[in-house]
Amino acid sequence: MDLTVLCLTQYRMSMNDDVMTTHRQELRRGTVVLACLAVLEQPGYGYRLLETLADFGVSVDANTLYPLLRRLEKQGLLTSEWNTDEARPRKFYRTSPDGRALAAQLLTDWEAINASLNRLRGETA
Amino acid sequence: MTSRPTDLTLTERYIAVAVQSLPEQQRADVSRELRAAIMDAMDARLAQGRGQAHDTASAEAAVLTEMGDPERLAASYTDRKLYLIGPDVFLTYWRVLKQLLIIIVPILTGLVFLAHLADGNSGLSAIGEAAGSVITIALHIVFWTTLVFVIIDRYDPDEVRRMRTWSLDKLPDTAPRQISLGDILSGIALSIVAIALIVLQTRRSFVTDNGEHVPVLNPDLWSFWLPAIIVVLLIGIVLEIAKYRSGHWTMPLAISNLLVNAALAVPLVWLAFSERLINPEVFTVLDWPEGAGSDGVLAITVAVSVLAICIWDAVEGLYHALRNSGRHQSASRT
Repeated sequence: MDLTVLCLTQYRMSMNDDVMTTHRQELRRGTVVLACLAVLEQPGYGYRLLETLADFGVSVDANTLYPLLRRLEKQGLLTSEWNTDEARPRKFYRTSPDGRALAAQLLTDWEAINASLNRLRGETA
Repeated sequence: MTSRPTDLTLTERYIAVAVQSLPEQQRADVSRELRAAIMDAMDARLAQGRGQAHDTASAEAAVLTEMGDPERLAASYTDRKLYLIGPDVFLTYWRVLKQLLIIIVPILTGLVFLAHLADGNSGLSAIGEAAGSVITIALHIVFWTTLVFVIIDRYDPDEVRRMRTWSLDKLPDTAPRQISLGDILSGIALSIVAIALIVLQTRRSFVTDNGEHVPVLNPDLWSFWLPAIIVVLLIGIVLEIAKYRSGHWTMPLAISNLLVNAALAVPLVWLAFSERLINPEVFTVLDWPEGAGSDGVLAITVAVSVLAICIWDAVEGLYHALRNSGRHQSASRT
């Protein structure tokens, strides 16, 4: 992650803003599922999850996130429950044991990539 | 603008569109969730902003606009494909479409041209009709081919997988072509002209008797030989297409070529020498008795030119095919 930011800042002057935005979005897109699974260890509903992810720098559109939550639920990675205690009923999602296992695997992969990138940076520096 | 809070709000209309293509049992659940999410987003906007009551409408508008086309949202829920032909299928589709257009459009256009000539239209109007039919033929080919591929892309995942997988034997041969497109097109054109002449001389012969057209070829031959020769010429066109697809002379192609030439030359020469090819009336009308007979000028001219053309064509194919197979053998030995 640091490496990317570093590279991107170095080339900022010479690179088209659109190109940079596209590549950054591309990199972050892969982290959306992992971020959802991690955040939803504590039960949460759609809009709050959207805000939490945005605070963490993982920006995802509402029209991408809501269908994604359904898909993850269908795949058994999330469970859901309607909370009707409040005036506005909301659907709460929570990471399932399968989802937790997947999140652990994704995190391992992510760290492995990070370690490789750091090693590469050490070699080229 | 008067607000009518009890009527269908923008949000309700948005949700209705978003869920209408969803399976019945999901609709209620998804609408309820979307409604809550939109309300939450509006609340957040109002809390951030000035928080005045009349801003509700603009907050709603902003939230819905940001969420985008509700049909796109619905497609995302149902995994519906938002394209007609996807990347897995596109290249196969494009190759097939191009080949069909290249092969079928000229053949059908030629047939339309001949049909209009045979109907007694002038050459110019037949060309006009043929040119007009090009677009209709092409549109039909494009439409039906596209439809078939759209259906495959949606309903035949096995076929899609087959189209996506690539193997080395699909690598096109980039060696220079031995048989050029020009050769092929002139071969096809020659066959079409020959068919046209055979058909047209029944209606518009260059021999006329008091304004009546006298066919040059013996009308008795229509019971078998002339249709047979037309069929051989059509087979010749198919062979030209096979030659183009191969790009190189192979032994099977050369032997087929030899057979087609033989099937043309042998009957024509035999008919000419047995005095059955040319309509006997032609010689009476032209008052040219020396032209007739098995040793007549016409019989010999026909025989010599047919033999020369057919033998040349057959030998050329065999020569190239033999050289190619020799080259292949020496290549595989080294």
